[in-house]
Amino acid sequence: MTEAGKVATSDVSALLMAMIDGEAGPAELARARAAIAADPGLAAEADVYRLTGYSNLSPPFDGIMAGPVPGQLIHTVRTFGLADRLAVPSRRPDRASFFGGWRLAVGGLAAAAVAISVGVLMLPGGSSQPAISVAVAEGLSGTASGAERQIATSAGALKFKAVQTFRDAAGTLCREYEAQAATGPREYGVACRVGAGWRQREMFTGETKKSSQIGSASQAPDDKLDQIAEQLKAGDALSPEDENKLIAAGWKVAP
Amino acid sequence: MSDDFRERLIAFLPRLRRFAYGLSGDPAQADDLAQDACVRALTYRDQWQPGTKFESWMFRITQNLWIDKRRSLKSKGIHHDLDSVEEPSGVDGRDVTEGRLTLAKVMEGMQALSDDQRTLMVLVCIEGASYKEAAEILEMPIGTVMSRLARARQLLHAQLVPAAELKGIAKERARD
Repeated sequence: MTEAGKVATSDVSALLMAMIDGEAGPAELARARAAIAADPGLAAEADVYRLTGYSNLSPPFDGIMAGPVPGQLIHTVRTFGLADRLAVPSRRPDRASFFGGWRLAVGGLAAAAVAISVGVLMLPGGSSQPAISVAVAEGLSGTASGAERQIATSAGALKFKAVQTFRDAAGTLCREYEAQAATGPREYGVACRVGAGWRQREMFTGETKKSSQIGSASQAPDDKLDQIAEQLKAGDALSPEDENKLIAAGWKVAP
Repeated sequence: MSDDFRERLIAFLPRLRRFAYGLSGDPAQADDLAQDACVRALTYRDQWQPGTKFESWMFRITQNLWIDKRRSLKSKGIHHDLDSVEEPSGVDGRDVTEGRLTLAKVMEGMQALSDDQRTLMVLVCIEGASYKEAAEILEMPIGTVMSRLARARQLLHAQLVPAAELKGIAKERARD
């Protein structure tokens, strides 16, 4: 390295590449230019490095960066190592999201293999519903449907929005919600009461159709979750009055 | 385990998946690799020192896992799921020269590279790492990084723009 933090090299090819990549110091730049002046053929080689440089090669990968991250991956990061909260989803989350909805030929066997390889545990009693974060649980317990609030976490504010409250076919109280942590993708979930807390029933991540930059994306996560909520619902969503009573009562239901 | 570490990891997931895809060329393998890398990072989180570059640490973990995985896959050969990537629309050198490269085309070209070359390409030309960062991640001298990277780019370019088409483009430019 030179004093300017640039690289020094005696290899002509590496010299040309460093010039194109902006990694050559002043002395190397001068040498590269002199080399090209002496041998015009080297300009073509420099063009090779320009065409295969970051500005040309990275954009085709933008779809991956903009695409939704599988919920399974986020769930693993959130819960791995927390033995008292660890769980795996009942199915592999939407793996089709890798490139904003492009279908992947991955089956349940791969999911099982991952689950085994990472050592994840099932919840006591065989429940396969994943745990949720403390902040999301707080939002679920205290936010009226249609309302948005910010919940403080050690990693910054979590924006939480409750969408609706309903009962499933078994009579369990469930809530559809959206959450956006200070960092990371937006989550769209349905969580249901289990004991004194909440358990996630479904969760997707990604961008809504409006905000997505991926034109070819399949169904957006918010639409997908709306559909699932409709399938889970047994009857209409709870009225605001009934919901407020539950919030006030800490979601305790009279036996 | 602090929430900060997990949140940092979650924020890094898009880049981690991109890096893993660049290495594997396969969406399913990429997500599995990213997940394995996260698990390893969480397991050995005490080894990461705040103040050092988190991204480099994660890239190194992922690269090491990929090497291990490649060893186990070698006897079977890599499953390269290009069908799940957008269909290449045919080779046209002007796509390269005019910045219209597709993901499928790049990944197809990358398959011609060795593992070491592909890793360097992904780190520097897709993730935007400096030569110095790449040298630290891969634990090799910076001169080696540069010479290998230059060779890798020549090979990739030859895949993306066959010589015959380059000549055609040169002629067109000459006419212009």
